[in-house]
Amino acid sequence: MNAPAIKAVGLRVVYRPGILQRSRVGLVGLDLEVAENEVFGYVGANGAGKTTTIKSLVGLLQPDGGEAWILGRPAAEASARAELGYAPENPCFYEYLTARETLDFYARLFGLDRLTRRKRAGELLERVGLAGAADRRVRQFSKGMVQRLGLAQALVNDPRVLILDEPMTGLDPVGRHDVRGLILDLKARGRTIFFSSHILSDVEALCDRAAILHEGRMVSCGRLAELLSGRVLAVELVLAGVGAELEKELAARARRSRREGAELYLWAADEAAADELVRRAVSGGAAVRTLSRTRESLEDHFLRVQGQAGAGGSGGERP
Amino acid sequence: MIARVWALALNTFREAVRDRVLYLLLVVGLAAVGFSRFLGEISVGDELHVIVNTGLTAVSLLGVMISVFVGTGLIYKELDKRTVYTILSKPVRRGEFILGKYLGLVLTALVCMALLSAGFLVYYRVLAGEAPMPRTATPPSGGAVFWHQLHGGRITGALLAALCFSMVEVAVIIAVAVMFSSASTPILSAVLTSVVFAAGRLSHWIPDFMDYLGRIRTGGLASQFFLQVLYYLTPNLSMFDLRDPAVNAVGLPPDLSLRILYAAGYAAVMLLAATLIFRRRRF
Repeated sequence: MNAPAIKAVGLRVVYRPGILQRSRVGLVGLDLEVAENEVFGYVGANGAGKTTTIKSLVGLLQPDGGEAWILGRPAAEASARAELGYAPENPCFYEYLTARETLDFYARLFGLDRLTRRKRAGELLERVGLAGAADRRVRQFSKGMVQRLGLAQALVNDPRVLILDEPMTGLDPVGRHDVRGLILDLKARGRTIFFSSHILSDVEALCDRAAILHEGRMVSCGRLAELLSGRVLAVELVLAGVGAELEKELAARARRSRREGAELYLWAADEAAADELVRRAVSGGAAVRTLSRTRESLEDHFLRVQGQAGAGGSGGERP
Repeated sequence: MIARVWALALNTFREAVRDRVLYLLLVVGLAAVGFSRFLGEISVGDELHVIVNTGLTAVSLLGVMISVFVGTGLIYKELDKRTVYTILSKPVRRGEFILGKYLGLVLTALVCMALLSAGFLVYYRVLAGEAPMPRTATPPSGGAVFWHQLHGGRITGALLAALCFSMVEVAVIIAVAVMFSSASTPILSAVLTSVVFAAGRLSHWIPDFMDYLGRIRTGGLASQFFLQVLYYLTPNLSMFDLRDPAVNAVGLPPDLSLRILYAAGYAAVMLLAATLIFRRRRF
C-alpha cells in the first residue's frame, strides 16, 4: 500500500516570542492524513494555525512535538521536499531577477539540467499566464503577477504533492478562475493538492475533502459530501395569490417571510413545517410557485463548527 | 549538493554585483591606489615601498568593507524579505544555504579584490617608478621610452602572495560576518564583525601583552584568562598579512600552506556555528 501523500501525527507548535512575553500555541496535537491524488482544503479563521501547519509540512518550522511525513519521508528531511511543491501566501522573490531567471534559479535547486530548466520555465510561464512578462524583472510585477510566479515556482519540479497557502490571495477573478483550472488539471494528472483558503466557495468547488481548524485544533475533517450531508437548514417556499389575512397567518407560522411584489417568500424550519405551510396556503387559495430545500454550505458548516468549538472552550492551552 | 550550493552562490554573486555600494568601494580603492604615488613622492627615498604598502592596504580594506557592508546583511535580508521561504521549502539543507551564501560573497569579494589588484599591479609596474629618461646623444626611440616606463616597481612572488593572502583573510572575515548575520541584525553584525576584525589584527600581540603584565606584576587571573580566551577565539589575522615580505623583500615565511589550512579551519568552524544557529530558526 502506498504511503499517504501527507501525514501528520500529534503536531504541536508553541511560539515563544520572548522571555517576558506569553507563549502562544500554534498547533495542539494535530493529526492529518491526505491520500494521493486528493484535493484537500484547509480552512480556518486568521490565526487558527493553517500557515503553521503548512510550514511544519514544508520544513520551514520544526514542531515542538509530533511528526509529519511527505510521501512516507519525514518532512524535516530535505529529501522529502524533492517531490513537493510549495507556494507561500505572499511569495517574495529576488527583485533583480526576471521571471525566467527566477524559475531557472529554483529549477537549479532541484539539479535539473540546462535544457530541462529552459523548457520547464517556458512551459510554466505560459501556464500561469506570464509568458508575456517572462523577461521582465520581478520588481516591476503587480501583486497578482507575483502570486502567479509563486505558483509557477511551486511547479518547477513537477511535484507529486503541491501545498498552496492561500493561492487565491491577490488574484483578480480571471486569476482565480485560472488557478481553479490549474488545480483541477493537476488533480486530473494524478497530483495531490493541499491548499488553505479563506474563500470557502473555492474549497467547496475544488476539494474532495476538507478540514476546519480552530485555535490550533482540527474541529472537523472529512469528505465534503459527508460534512455537508443533507443537513437541511431551511425549506424555502414561494407562493402567489396570498391575501392579507392568509399572509399574516402564514408569516406567523414560518421562520421568516418576505413579500416581493405578487409573491410571498416563506422559510420553514424543516420539511414537516413546510408541508404544514403548503397545506394551509393551498387551502387558503394560494398557488405554490417553488418549494426548495436550503442545504448547509461549507460556510454554514464552518461557522457552526467554529461556534461549537468556541462554545466548548477548546481554546489553545497556555503552557 | 554541489549543484544546489553552486546555484545559491551564483545567485548571491549576481545579487551582490548589482549593489551600487560595491562599485563605490571599488572606485575608492582605485583612488587610494592612485593616491599612493603622492604618498610615495612625499616620503624620502622610499617611494616604491609606500606605493606597495598603500596598494596592499587598499586591496585588503576593500575586502573587509565588502565583508562588513554586504556580508553582515546576507542572511538577515533573506529572512526579512522572506525569499528564504521558497528556497528552504526545496530540497536544500540549511547548511547548504549558509555555504552557498558564503561562497557567493567570497566569490564577489575575490572578483572585486582581483580587479583592484590588477589595477594596482598595472599602476605599480607601469607608472609608479617613472623617472626622467637618461640623457643620450640621440633622441630615444619609442620602444626605449616604453621600456623605460616599464621599469617601475618589480612584481615579485612575495607581492602576489601578499595579495592572495589578503583574499584568504577576507574569506575568514566573511565567514565571521555570515555567522553573526545568521543570529542578529545587520547593524549588530557589522559592529561585531568589525570588533572581531580589529581584535584579529591585534591578537598576535596578546601573548606579548600577557608577558608584559606578568613582568610588571599587574592584572589578576581573570584578566589573564580573558586575554587567553580572546587569543584563542579571535582569528589570528596577522598570519595573513604578508606586507613585510612584499615591501622589504625579506623572503616569504615557510608555513604558508599551514596558514591556509588555519584559515579554512577557522572559516569552517564559523560556518558550522552559523548552520547550527540557522537550524534552530523558525520561519
